[in-house]
Amino acid sequence: MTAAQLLDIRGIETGYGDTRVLHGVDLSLSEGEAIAVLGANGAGKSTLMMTIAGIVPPWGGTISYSGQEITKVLAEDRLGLGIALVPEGRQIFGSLSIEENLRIGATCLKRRIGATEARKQIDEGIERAFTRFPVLGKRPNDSGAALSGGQQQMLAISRALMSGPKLLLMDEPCMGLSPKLGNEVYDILKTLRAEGQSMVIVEESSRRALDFVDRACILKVGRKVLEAQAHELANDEHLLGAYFGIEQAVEQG
Amino acid sequence: MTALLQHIVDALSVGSTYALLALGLTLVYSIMNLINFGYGILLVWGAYGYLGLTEVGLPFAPAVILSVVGVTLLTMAIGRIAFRPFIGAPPITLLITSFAVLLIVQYAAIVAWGEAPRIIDYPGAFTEVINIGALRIPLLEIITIGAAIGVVLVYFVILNRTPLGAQVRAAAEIPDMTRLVGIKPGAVQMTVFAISGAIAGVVGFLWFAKSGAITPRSDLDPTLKAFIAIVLGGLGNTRGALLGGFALGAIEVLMSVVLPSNVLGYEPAIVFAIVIAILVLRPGGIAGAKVNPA
Amino acid sequence: MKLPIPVSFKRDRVPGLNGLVGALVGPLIVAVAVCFVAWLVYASFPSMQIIVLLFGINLVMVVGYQLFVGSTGIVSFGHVAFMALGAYAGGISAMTVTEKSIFLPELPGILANLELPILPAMAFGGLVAALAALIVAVPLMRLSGAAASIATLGLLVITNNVLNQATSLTHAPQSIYGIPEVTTLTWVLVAVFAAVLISALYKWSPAGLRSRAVRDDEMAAEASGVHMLAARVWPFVLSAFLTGVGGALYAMLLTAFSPQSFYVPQIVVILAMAIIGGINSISGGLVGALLITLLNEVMRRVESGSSLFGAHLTAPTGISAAVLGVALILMLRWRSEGLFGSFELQVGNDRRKKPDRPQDSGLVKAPSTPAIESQK
Repeated sequence: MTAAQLLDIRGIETGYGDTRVLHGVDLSLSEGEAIAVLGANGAGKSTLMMTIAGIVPPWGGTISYSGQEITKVLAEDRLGLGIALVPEGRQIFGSLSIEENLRIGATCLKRRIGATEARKQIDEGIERAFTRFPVLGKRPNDSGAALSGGQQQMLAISRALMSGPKLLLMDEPCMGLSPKLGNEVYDILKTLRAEGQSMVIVEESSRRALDFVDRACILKVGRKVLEAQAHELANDEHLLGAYFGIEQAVEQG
Repeated sequence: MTALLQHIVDALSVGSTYALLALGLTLVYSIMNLINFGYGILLVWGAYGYLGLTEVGLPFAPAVILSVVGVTLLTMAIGRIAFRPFIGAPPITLLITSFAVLLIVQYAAIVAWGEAPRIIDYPGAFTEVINIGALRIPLLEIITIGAAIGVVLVYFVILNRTPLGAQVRAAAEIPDMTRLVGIKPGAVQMTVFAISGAIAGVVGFLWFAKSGAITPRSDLDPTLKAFIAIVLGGLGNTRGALLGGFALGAIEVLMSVVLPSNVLGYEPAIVFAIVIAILVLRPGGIAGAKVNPA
Repeated sequence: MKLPIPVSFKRDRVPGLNGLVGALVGPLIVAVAVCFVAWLVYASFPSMQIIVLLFGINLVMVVGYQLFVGSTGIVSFGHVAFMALGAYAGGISAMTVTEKSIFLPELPGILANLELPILPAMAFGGLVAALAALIVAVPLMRLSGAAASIATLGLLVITNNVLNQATSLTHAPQSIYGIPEVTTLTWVLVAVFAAVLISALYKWSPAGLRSRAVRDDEMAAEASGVHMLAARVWPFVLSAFLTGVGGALYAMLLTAFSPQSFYVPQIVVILAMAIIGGINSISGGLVGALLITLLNEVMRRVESGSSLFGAHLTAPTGISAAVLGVALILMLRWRSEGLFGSFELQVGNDRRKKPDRPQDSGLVKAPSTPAIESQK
């Protein structure tokens, strides 16, 4: 009997309205692992993330987290369990300031550990965010919308980390960012990896992700068609080309 | 000149109540797309509450406070029971639902208070007229404007300086992201209904202090004015709500002054026609598209 | 039990002439069924005759209402205004010249000298309402969704105000008197069937399809060249006409009323009938009208304190409104498109495979895509 996985997804089927997007996807992750979910546009990667986060309810299948089945747990309760999603497009609250964006990320802490302890952790978390990303601390009362794309990504990651999540889900962290900024983002992810953060990263462009994660799987039209150790996949241009089209396999981050 | 100033104060006072109503309506709308057809009946219940409390001997101040608190709780209860199941439904469904809720809550008022008009005894001070220079301004108007300023200030403080307010702003902007940071939609909804209800309680008191008499069907006028104000100002927008309310007040006072007496009976129709004319030119309202409650 | 004619419930109609006929005949059959029930009551309970006539008038108005709301997706709170206009216009035109000279001495010449039999009076009422709709349609229909609904409420307020003030026309705020009592079951039934036929013809006409295209997706429809305003104005005008006809029949039944008879409390009944029956279905509206009328009759007895299955019930007046409110909420919660949804009764065989036609979606769509959705 293996130790409980941090995340164990079996046979997830879901979609929007009458359209089925995922046709029975399995995925699992141990603590401390980082895996990448790759695939072309429309493959269902974001849908999978949203299902794990609880926003999209699955039509079938189960989701287990640390041995506990959470398929029916509401999205707003999953952060309290330790699952944090940094969604596609960052979704920074423009109507909130930078600091408010960070603070709101820790809303569930008060419930979990009590007011005084939460306040301490929140202040520490904010300081950590400002240390890691000084640009956030420069004018913390500015609207979140005032930041550039890359800066918003930093904010989004920091916001997700405020509650100390065990599992970090990242949906296309480099979308819309220049290659240089993309590298910066991955530098931060590497730091987090080194600290033991478990993560699932969704990417369309695969190179950077494959250099970073332990394992990777490829989704195609809502099904998982391949899963392998990252370095195997990275070195097999053929394989990548088959699943992404030659141009994309060659495209570098 | 005196007359002009007098009219301006009039317009500000009338516009204040409309602006507050629009504020309360817009807040709820920005969170869950609900335009509450039954907003007026909350005012009615607040006034009846004050009536009942004073009848059992409570002095003025506690009666007012308790009735406002009562309306707040009533609004939260209605939100929890009647509107919670409809989160995520399209605006039209919510509008019809709120109409249905109105029928029920109104019936409760009919059962509790009867259909006959009741006179509410307000302290004599309310009918006083203050003399400022050459101006003769009813004390009630000053109180109304003052109350409006107070409410709007408190509103902005709550929304911009408290964690709950941050949650409301976030939920109005990106509802799903708010869930992803662990905020329960139900909690945000209750906060919003509470604020909206408190506003209704305050405005109810001011409204019926002015009109003096109340029936369970007195909800239509406040609801209509609130609706016109938000559509005029721009749906979903706090700035629009306040602007719309004051604009409506200004139009009304202007009409009452400008219209010849034989046409005066048509004032409601004319005001409405003006509003529709403005909407033809600017379908999004004076202040435009949906933004945020803060 | 096998029916002699093949019938089915469908959202879209079978193409071709047979399909069109089948789609027209279907709602007419429902109308026949509902009216048959009404006729039975009329013939068996003389004391209920007025109620049956009122029910028939409600049928006309529900069909008219459904025509607009089903085609445009805009819930109108102002259709009572058209009823009022139809009632006053139709009633006044039917009044004898003598009566008019007594009760409405200040009527302008044309109206004062008009004395129409029932059918032209009905048409006159309908036309006046339709004209009013045409005038307000253009500004109204530029708004969308909830704002438009609020604007229709404004229409009701304006109409009520104007009718109350135009004493020379309406004898308001007092009741108008002297309208001849010429509404009969026959005429009401004629109106019902005509309304159903007109509504069905519109629904399946190219204009009707265009309206629903705009309803379902404004941007796409506009992109494919559908004229947005036309798609909303014509159902509004047509619907106003039917409602006005209903109002005229009402006037010639009750013979006395005031503008207060046509205000917000009157919205509830038609709204409930349409929503509960199915806002996108003519058949649904008819059945909804029957159900709500039955419910109202039960409530009336409860209000007047009579016995129901041996239990003595009583409640203060107004409970029927509250009960309708509860019924509305329950239906919206359980099945937001109403009993019939978008389905109509249709006659005829459909031997072909189901065509790939875009769904005729309901007025109220189920919540689906989240705010941060992406098609991945």
